[in-house]
Amino acid sequence: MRNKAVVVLLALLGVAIIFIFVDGRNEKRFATSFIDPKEAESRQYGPGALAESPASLSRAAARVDLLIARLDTRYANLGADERIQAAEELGKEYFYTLSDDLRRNISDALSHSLRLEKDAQVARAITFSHSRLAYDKNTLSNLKFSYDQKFIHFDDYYGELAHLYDEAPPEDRRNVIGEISNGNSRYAVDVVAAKIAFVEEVQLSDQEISDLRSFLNKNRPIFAGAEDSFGLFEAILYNQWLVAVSRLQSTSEGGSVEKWMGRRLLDPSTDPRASVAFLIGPYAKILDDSKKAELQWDAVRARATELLLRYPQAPGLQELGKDMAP
Amino acid sequence: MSHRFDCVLKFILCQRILNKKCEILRYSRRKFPQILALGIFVFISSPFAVHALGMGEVHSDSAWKYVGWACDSSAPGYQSVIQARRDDGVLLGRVVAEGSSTTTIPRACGSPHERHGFKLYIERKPQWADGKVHEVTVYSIDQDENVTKLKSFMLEFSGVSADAQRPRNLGDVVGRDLNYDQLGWAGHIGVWDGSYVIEVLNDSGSNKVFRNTWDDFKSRSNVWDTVTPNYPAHMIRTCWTYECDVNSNYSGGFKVSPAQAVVYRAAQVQMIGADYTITALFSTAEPTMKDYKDPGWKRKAVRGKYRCDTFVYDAFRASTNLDNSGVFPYREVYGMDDSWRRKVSSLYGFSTMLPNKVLEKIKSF
Repeated sequence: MRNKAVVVLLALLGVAIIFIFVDGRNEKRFATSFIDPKEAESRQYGPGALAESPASLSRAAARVDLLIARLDTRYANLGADERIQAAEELGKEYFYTLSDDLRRNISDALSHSLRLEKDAQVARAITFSHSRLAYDKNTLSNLKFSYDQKFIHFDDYYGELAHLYDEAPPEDRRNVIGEISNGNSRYAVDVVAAKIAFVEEVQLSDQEISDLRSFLNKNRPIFAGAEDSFGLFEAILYNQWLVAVSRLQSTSEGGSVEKWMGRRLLDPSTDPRASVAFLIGPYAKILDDSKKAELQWDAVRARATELLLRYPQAPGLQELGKDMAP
Repeated sequence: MSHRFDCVLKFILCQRILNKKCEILRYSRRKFPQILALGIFVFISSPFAVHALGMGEVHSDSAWKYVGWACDSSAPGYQSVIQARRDDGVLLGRVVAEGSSTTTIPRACGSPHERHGFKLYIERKPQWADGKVHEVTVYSIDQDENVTKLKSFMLEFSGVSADAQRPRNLGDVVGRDLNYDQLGWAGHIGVWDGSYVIEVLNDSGSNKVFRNTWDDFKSRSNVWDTVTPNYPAHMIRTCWTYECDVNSNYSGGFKVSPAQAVVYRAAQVQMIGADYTITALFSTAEPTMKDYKDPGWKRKAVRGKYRCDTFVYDAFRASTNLDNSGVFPYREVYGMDDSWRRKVSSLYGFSTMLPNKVLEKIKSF
């Protein structure tokens, strides 16, 4: 009997140790990625498994109500950090549900709180939380309000417009693109270029394409520093800009993307570092022979090689240049 | 006619010369035909005129640094390119005037914002330090490549000494004292992209991921020995840009080396946007995610929140398959030794993490 008790006790202890160990591992994993365990659980399922039961929808609605209350200074006497966290959590909850009602509720609550918020940091967090939701009737007015109130700054405002212009309905999109184009924010250039370079198809009107082309052309990324300075970050930004502007040109004027890329790279006014940036980038590595011919591959490569030979002592240029497509 | 002309000129010219004799008015009446001809010429020729409307200020007390602001009244929000050239033709450096500046600038050129400041640090190349006094001219360049001279300086090019800490390799990790009283030991770190230090700073500006030159980094506090990690030879394929797909078998993305992965990830974070947090509790910047199997689904990009060391950790994590789950682009690694994964994983520890400790650990990589 006593032996049995000892065995049971040891078994329980073993189970407890296993639980502690497993929990500990999970905790470490979650702590490392900084995802709440419950949140991580739901994220594991991915977008395909978001169909909600009435019970899960009801739980989500309760969580959202709680977060909205935490954000509202009239009901909860919480500090700025806690309100910022509530705003960020609301942004996450938005994408965990497919319920239009719940999503509308989140959007309206954030927009309402923004108008009442006195703390600039909290208002900034609310603005970003809302601007990263799906585009809706509140999107532009919230951004404009925050920009006018100086809750967000120049690059914030135009950067967010760049983040969302392609989601806006056609009646808003033209104005948004026009505003981005007139804003001349270089951060917005990077975002617009990344979007256009990597989307499968450019679906914009002729006027919108023209506006964005003009915007990208007038705010060309530069290679800073001396003539032999070369870093990967600028190369990444230049590459996506080159692909984007050439895609727009190809869409509006015809001709292949490669043709326009080649012309730009070989233009005497273009910095020769552009050729190196292009050749170390992903686009150069997937071109077949016919596309290489359209791009005038040999001439582009010669331009890059000449630069590498001119500056044999430039460490960044030489190290990154080794990765040029042959 | 003469009376009407008088009235117009009186309105335009004499409005601001209150209670003073308007000598110019009498002069203008005498010279009316000449003035009219000049006005017609200016009116006709203005569309063909060069729009060199750049303006700005620049100061320098050393051949190696130029600070100021610049803008362009023909495109008031445009952030001009600044260029410094020496009298022997050497292009010393270029930079975009996109930093913070004083609020007098919008008034000067009609800009709606004040991000027109610049700090142009010149790389201290030994071949440029000839000990001579040179004339250096700083220009601003507008959207149409028109050049406006801002100012010239007579400066001596000297004072270059060996710079042992200067990073040389892609993915090097640089460090310096933290700019807080009594907390310098905790340190500040960033990664080298071949030309710039990529770092998270709690400086002014919208995005807290900054690209700064080595000389800028060095000028802020005492620098530490640069660490060149012993990067392994494996490759990582994933989506490195702004918009990605949740499916691990999606054909997008491309392969890069571990050192490149660190910089590609840093650029991705900058594009998504990041804020600063003083604690080690960071949140990951996540790209916009789509699902090619479900075209209606989309989760927009989520801004990150980092301190300098958690940013470096996040960038290093991109060279591994750590935390390879959730709504985040899947990282496929080819031939990675598990020891690299363990080393990178060891950089993070919420309660013990500090920039100096991260740098120490990377030294052992």
